[in-house]
Amino acid sequence: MVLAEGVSAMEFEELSEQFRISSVPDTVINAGAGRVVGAVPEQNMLAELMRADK
Amino acid sequence: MEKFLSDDLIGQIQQVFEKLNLPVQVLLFVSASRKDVCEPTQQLLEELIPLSEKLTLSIHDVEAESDLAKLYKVAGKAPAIVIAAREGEQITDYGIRILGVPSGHEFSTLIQDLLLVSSRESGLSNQMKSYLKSLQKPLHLQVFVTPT
Repeated sequence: MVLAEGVSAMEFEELSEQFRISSVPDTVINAGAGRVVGAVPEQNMLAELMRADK
Repeated sequence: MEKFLSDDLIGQIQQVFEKLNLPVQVLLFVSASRKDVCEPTQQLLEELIPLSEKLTLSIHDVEAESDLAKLYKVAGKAPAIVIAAREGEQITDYGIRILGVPSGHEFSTLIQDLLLVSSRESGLSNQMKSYLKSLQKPLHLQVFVTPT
């Protein structure tokens, strides 16, 4: 049910451009329904996952 | 060909690999159209994975084995590394992938992923676990990273 990809921005330039990645880590949730820039505590990630899920 | 892993580094990795618990299957998906990045990834894994008998590596071609690539959701994503659990011949996919060459920071991520899958324990909070269990539709996370 969960697909978690660590994407090397250097080798996947098109994908990085598509999501306008400018700093890392940058987590794209369900193709842009949600977004978390930077390394954040698990609680913050969960909050964004729930927000994007609505 | 020159080796990626120095004897020094191999010693350190072997120490870390002592913490490996249950077997892990690593599937590497390569593509002839992306030889420049697939070759170093393959070489790195061919040096790394034999350092523990708990780890097994298989190498697949996204074009020649397109059904398998679709099954693992890596079509068009070479080089893609799938880090899965293995029990005998049974492979259990947890959806964990590294796309691209696992160098720099991503090398540590790869090691951490191997340990994580080998432990069969996500380390996530109960709240996160219960949320993920309640998911009604697939969740796709793309964590963009750079090696430095």
